[in-house]
Amino acid sequence: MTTTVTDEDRARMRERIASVFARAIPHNQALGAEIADYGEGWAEARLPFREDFVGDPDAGLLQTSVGISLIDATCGLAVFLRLPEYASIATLDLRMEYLRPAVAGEALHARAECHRLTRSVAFVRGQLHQGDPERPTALCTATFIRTDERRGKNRS
Amino acid sequence: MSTYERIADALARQDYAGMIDAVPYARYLDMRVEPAADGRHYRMPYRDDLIGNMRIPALHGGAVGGFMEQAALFEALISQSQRRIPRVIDFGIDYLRSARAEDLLAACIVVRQGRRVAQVRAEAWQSDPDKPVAAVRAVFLLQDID
Repeated sequence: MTTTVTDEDRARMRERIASVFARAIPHNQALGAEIADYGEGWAEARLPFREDFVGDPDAGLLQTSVGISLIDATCGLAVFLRLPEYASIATLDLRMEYLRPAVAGEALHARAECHRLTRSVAFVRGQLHQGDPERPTALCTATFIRTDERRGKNRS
Repeated sequence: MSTYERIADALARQDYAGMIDAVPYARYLDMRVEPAADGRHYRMPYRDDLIGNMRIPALHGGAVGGFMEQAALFEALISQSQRRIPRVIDFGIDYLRSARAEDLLAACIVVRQGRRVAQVRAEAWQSDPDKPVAAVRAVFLLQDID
């Protein structure tokens, strides 16, 4: 990334974002979702395995539904990391394609990138995998709306 | 007995709690199936740890989506004539308004069920059924129980 922020700035920002992601969002905290890495407009998070996340114990499969929480959170994080300043956002829509099963016993990893930001809308792509990003278990596309921007427009 | 044999057995007795019990994630969400005039409703009882935004406060969009996908999967299971395992391949959700700190209810419709594919739509609401919170479409591949 060609940013001019110092390592110290980066560490401080990362700490703040990580703390919002894990501590200020109760459901992320309840699931145990952790921020793994981030940059301008992108984020990576992981969800350590827990028995609660299983969909089919006999076949040893994770429930796909728990991945929706992880990818929604990671996509939102990617948008926050793209915004020039803090703004409130809401998920407008989200689509998942489940390419292959995710297995129980292993962490779920998410990566999301906000590839376009307009005045009011953010477009995000994401994926889930279990250690090999070349073999995603799911692909995601999502759009977010800036809720404060809308309010600002209504006022003017 | 495999997970889906257990579910099929529970469904043969119309034991929806037994079906939910077979799926750890559905148990984690504390999902319920309730009879309704138009079939059945799915319920995710409110819990503080389902919150995604503390300022509004609003349920986490992922919890809303996860619950609705799970409800759609259960609906595909309940309404099928043959015993098959639905594996979700495609899922989309439109968020219509923010979900408040209350129970979330969902109703599902199996739009089409073929030999290999089931297509399900779901809608979720809270206190007012006329104010939907989210709308979902989910596509399942149906696999034989071995």
